[in-house]
Amino acid sequence: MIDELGRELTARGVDRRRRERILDEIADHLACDPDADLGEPRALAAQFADELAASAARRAAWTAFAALTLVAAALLATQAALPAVPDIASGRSVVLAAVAGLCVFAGAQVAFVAGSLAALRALRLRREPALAAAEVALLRRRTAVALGAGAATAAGIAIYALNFWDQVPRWWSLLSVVLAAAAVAPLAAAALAHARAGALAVSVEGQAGGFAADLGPLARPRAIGVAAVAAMLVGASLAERSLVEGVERAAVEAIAFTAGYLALGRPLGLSSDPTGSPRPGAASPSARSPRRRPG
Amino acid sequence: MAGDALKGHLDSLILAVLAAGPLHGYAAIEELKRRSAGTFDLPEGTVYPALHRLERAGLLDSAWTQAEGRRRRVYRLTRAGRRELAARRREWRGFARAVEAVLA
Repeated sequence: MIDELGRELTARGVDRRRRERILDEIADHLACDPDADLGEPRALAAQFADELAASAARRAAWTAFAALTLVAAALLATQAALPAVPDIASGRSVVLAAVAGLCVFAGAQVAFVAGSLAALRALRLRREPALAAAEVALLRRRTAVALGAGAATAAGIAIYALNFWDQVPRWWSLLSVVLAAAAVAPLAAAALAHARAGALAVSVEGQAGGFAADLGPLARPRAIGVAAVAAMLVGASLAERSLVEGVERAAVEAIAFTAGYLALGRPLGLSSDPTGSPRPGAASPSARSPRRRPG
Repeated sequence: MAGDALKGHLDSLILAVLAAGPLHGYAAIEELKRRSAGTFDLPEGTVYPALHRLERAGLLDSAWTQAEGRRRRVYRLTRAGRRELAARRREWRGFARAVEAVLA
């Protein structure tokens, strides 16, 4: 029993420390009652792995969200403290300036959307002992995209400061680089939690809930896109006191939103996805008693 | 009792069994059987994932002890676990009253 359980736990990706603890507990149990009915080692290992994977995926999503909050704070602090935006051609490289701008502009938005969706799904499923493999995979994809975009945003902040080192106050450049570097540690911690969740094999069958499982009747990507573009139009027009500037930025936002939706809609579970999106108002499939796959 | 019927209440039962004092896995299972007069005779292995889950949720904590030359993991309720147990007891009593009122 002990040897077989050990093999099954290893095969399902349970780490050595946890595995040894489980085996010691089961050995103690069998020493107390050699005829104890502990169930099949394979089923017991699957139950441990499924529950560990669910909690690890949720923890990774929350850790990523917390790390991204720090990146957002760094971004807001540097943007608020920048005395004047330098001309794009005045830096060391126009290409670097464009890369930095893209990383910050697109990265921050993608990180916000993916990180919020991951945290929201983890919160909604916080009481489920185990999740369907498709649900864990969706949570992990959202977390991975959020972490990648968050890292790109932090890198963009640093690249921007380095590129315009001589065009902006020295204290601002240093502040930007320090804040971007400070964001690396929490992002790395979140990435580690994400990797741990990925090491576990999940045996629970079932589908992942779609976008409707996150936002219910508000899960209308097109309407959200239109609202984001309109907010950009109004916000930029007021901030820059120029309707032309507002229209330009709104157009860029529309292109970025469309591109982001086309590229990430399915992996993030926003569009009708292969994992089976329930209709608005329908219970999440994962909540409908997921079943373990045999073996 | 059918395993499926017990499944939704296993966490509450474990918390209740540990409310009396710290126990290791086997002792907790035996106490569960004793208190239910043998009604809750579930596959004993399923209790260990539940113990680990409750610990991850902060409702239990655990420590190694030595017993007859073996390592033994002993679980105890945390303060959060006691609060959770009290909440679950209230919830269960309300539910049981309502079911009883309908069935009686």
